[in-house]
Amino acid sequence: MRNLKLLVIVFSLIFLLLGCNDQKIIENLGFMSVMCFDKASDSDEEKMLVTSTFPSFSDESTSTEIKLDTVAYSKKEAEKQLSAKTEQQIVNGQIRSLIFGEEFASDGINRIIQSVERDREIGSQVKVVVAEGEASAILESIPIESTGNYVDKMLKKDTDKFTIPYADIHHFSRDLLDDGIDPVVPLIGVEGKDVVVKGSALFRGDQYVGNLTIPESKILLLLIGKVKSSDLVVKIPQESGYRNFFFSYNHSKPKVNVKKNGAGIKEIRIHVTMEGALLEDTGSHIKGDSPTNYKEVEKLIDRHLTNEAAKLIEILKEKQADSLGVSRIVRNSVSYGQWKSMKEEDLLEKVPVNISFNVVVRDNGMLQ
Amino acid sequence: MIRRKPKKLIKKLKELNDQQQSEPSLDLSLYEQVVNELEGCSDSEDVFFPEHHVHFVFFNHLVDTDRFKAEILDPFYHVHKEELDSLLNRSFYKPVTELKKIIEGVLDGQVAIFNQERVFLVNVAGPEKRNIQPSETETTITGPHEGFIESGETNLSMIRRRVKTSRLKVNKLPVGEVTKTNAYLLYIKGIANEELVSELTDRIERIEIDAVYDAHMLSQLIEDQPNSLFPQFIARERPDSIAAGLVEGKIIILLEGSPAVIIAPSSFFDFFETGDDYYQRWLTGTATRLLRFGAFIITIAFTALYVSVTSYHYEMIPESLLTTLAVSRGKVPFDPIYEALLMEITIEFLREAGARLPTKVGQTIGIVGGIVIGQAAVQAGITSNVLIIVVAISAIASFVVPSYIMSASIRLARFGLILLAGLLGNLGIVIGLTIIVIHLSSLTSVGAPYLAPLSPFFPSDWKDFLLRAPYKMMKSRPTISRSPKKRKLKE
Amino acid sequence: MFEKIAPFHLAILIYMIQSGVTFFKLPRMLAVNFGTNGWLMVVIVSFIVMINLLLISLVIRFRVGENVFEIMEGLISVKWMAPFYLLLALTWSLLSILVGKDFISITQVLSFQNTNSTSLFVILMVLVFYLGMKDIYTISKATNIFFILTIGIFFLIIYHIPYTSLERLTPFIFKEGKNTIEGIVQLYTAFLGFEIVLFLFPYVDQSKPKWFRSVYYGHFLTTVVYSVTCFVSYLFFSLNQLKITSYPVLNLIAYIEIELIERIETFVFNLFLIKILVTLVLYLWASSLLLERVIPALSRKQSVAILIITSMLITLNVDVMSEIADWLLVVGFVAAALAIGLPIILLIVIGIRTYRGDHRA
Repeated sequence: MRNLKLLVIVFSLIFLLLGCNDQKIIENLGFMSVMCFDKASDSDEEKMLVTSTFPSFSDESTSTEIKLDTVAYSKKEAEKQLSAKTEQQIVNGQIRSLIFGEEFASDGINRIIQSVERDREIGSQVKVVVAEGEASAILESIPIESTGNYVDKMLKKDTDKFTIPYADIHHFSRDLLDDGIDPVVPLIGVEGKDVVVKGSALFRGDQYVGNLTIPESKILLLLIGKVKSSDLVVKIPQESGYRNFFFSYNHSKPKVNVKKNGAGIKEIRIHVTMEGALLEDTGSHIKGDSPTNYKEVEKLIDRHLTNEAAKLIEILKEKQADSLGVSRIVRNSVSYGQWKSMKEEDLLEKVPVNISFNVVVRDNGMLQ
Repeated sequence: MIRRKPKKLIKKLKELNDQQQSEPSLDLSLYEQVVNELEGCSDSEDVFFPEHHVHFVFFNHLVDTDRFKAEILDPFYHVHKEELDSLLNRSFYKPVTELKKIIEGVLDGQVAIFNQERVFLVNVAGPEKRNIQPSETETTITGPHEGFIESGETNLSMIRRRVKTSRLKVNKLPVGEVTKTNAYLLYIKGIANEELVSELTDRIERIEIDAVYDAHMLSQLIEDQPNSLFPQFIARERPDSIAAGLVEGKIIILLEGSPAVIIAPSSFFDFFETGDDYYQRWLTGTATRLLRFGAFIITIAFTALYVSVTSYHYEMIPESLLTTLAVSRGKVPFDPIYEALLMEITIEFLREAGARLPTKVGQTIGIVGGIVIGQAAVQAGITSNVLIIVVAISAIASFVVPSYIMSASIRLARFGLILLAGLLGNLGIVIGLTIIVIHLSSLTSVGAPYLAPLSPFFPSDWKDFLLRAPYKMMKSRPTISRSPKKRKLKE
Repeated sequence: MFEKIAPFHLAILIYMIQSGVTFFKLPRMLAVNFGTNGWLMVVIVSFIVMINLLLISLVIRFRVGENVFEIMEGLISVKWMAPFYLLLALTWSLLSILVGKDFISITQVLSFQNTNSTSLFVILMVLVFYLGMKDIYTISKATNIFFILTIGIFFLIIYHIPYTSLERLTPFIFKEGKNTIEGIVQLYTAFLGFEIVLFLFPYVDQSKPKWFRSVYYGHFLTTVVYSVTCFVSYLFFSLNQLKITSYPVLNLIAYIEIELIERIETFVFNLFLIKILVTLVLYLWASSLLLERVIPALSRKQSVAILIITSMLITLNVDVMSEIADWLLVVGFVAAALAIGLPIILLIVIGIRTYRGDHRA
């Protein structure tokens, strides 16, 4: 019992000594939900324009969004300057997305990524996005209060449907530091008054080098890994006009094969098997006696996808962005000595990538 | 028949021999000594039959008037002088010779009959007592409804009626230097551990106190660590739970004048069990138990978590919820810790006021509390409505814990956690929980680990712990009762 | 009847002493020191630890009914052993204090950047003292609850499975590593704690003849937790990323986001406080046994307090993270040497005594 008393005394003494320096009481905070990075219009190359939004709770029952911007040399400095512009204590623990302007991203975003990774308050599931043109323009066009959430939700909807790649801080940093693959992130832009998902942004190292449209992104995703559910619009030119398919697939899996000749790499073969349903077919003229020919449709889609994939590889080679992880495929098939003797940068250019598809139409919807 | 107050008689006696003081002198008769002892007890009665030279000394309010009339008064009215001896030889007239026994008997509600040098005690006790009613603190939905009352005899009879075996032994032990309240120690021979029986007997005999009024008080006098926040013996108010305890090999302590009955040894988790668990289907019984442990966790940590999150760890809450929280806190002038303490204490006020007030006024408290706390406090901007929800949930959860004593202990521990959370955030909560765990681990209940069967781990007892397994599977008695016959039924 | 540690609880105790604050850094240590597929090293070093455990089991088997002190003092009297005991006590209490400091320094990084680390450390020490002054049986009981509270964290790893990829593992084994020897020592210290069993066994319920197996089980559990976590880290992070991440395990936990709660690492890391507590308390407990052997007049409370205060004074200026790491490396190395050396010394003593025909047991 005496011990218990002692314990109480000691604890109360400690608590008297402890300052509440680290308190972060929520109503005093301004949680940044999004941070946009653009090149400052200044002449100084190093400077960046940081725009951020956060809710203000001074009102009774509703929260209003406040938008602030500042010009700084680093992310942390920007935070401090933003904090100086408001009565709230600016905190970054609730950031949902980092949006980089095209121009800023092409100079490399590693310094921002590292700063974010170092900061313990920021989680790992912060989305990384590239915006066409100015990043701050995105914030102007978002209609509702919670900006960060809006971009976050918009991206989540599309990544869940495998139309654009998923990229958060952890993914980006992981692929950036991996010696066999380059990061890919979603690309958004403003069309008229609306924010739209544009496709994906390709990186070489930490530098933005080019972009892919949504159909191209879908094919890239098919080549990178398993796809659980997505759909494709396939347009095949015919004698008169186009034949349109809407192919919804719920299972696809790439199989990678490395062909070697001696010590060198001859080619990489990626074979993708897909299974799904044909939900639209404008070309078939259904009469009672001639149902749609599955085999023919499958072949048409196969050929279309193979062509598209070849075009995609060309784009990647042209931009020198190893988003497919060609070097990684090579690395995982050779010995350590061989791998060290290879020049990583050349691999993407030199090693031919051969892609084939095997599409299985499981059903046709409600019509034969 | 002459009825008179013994006071007057004593005055006479005093006049007769002045030197006689309070201590009984040898030359006084037993009758005179008894009357001497009862000096000043104006509620005692002394009835005198001059023709038989018979005195009856008793307390009118301790005896059953009808029985007194039928067993004693009527026979003495009608008896002839010659038949007096045979009347006094009736078997339920117990001859006594010691003064102490006579006094004790009279105080127990017996009638002392004095005839010349002979003294008899006749048991016609029948004090007023409460009828058997359902227990107020331990209600049940299914299962037997009767609860113990304040009469030890009645309580014993309720237990005996349920456990019909001659092996159910009862030790009677008086407690309290002044009150001499009877404690009964019950156990089933062959099932209960004899060492524990003698240990508990010893502890009860060693109690040094003037008076014991309630079993909860008694249990604090015989606990292993009386200074702990947590009760180490559970007290129940229902005979079926007590019978179950006896069969499990536990030892039961009953106290005259208390409707609560102690079961020893008890573990921490016994406080979360009710009779209902056993009478419901085993799956629903199990689900209810899990619910209660959930309630325990919410009671102890929920408000603390609110304080910790709102004052330190804003990043733990998803953004949509965070906005709601921050908006609701927007107008509040205090820090979360003060806000939470204020609300928790208000809830405690309400609870305490509700417990003490008569039911009809109690309703008013409910309405006032509901309106003041639910509406006005939020509108006035003194608290946030999220906190109201948090505090209300933990208050409700605290009443899910069946034992009132335990629930009060947990509620007090919660205040410690709230303070720690306000000072150190999540680290504070973990520190608080650690202290509680260390303390609970060091507790024992007559030598049995308090956290059994969780720690130490007794797998065989898990069938009646978080789970309430089907009866077919519950084949052994709990390890903590250290029964010499661990398996139930015949070997 | 209840006052002995059952074998099952011994296994839990061993696991809880072993896994400590090094766990958070383990994947990085592996990546830096062993490079590719460093997680395999966990299994290898775990096997070396098994051999060490075997030595300890031999000591216990050869001298049934004697504790470590009786074995030693059968050859050398207490007077001469005293400096050795004190040195041992000092090493272990220093180790436990340093582990505590290390933990506090991480806590500070995570949530208390602006709070004085000394006051946090004193709070931890008060907790250590509160648990340390109880008897070993109570400590074991509390440890069981701590185990139940913390083991659930391990299963959070299931969340990461969709984000892992075997391709990041690379087919190369132990390439690009920096310092294999240092890595092995560090890894060995991550497993330390099992040597406490030398002092624990008189308190264990030995009614089951194969009770020592539970020590292996405890060690096995540690190995599983370590190797699975490191393996998943290798799949989840890329190698270079792993090398620069200070506490990969914390990042793993931080990645988890569920509907109701995000960023659970702020809570989960604090839960590790109780794991660290067990490590600290058991080392101090063994040290206090040693101290009490030298100065029998001391009570448990006094000896624990003396050890805590002495070690705190010695490490008073060790505050910066890199300093703590340096000290930990040195003291950890000494402790690792003791873990191997102590059973060997004991075996030699037993050998000499048997040779002399001393069959006291």
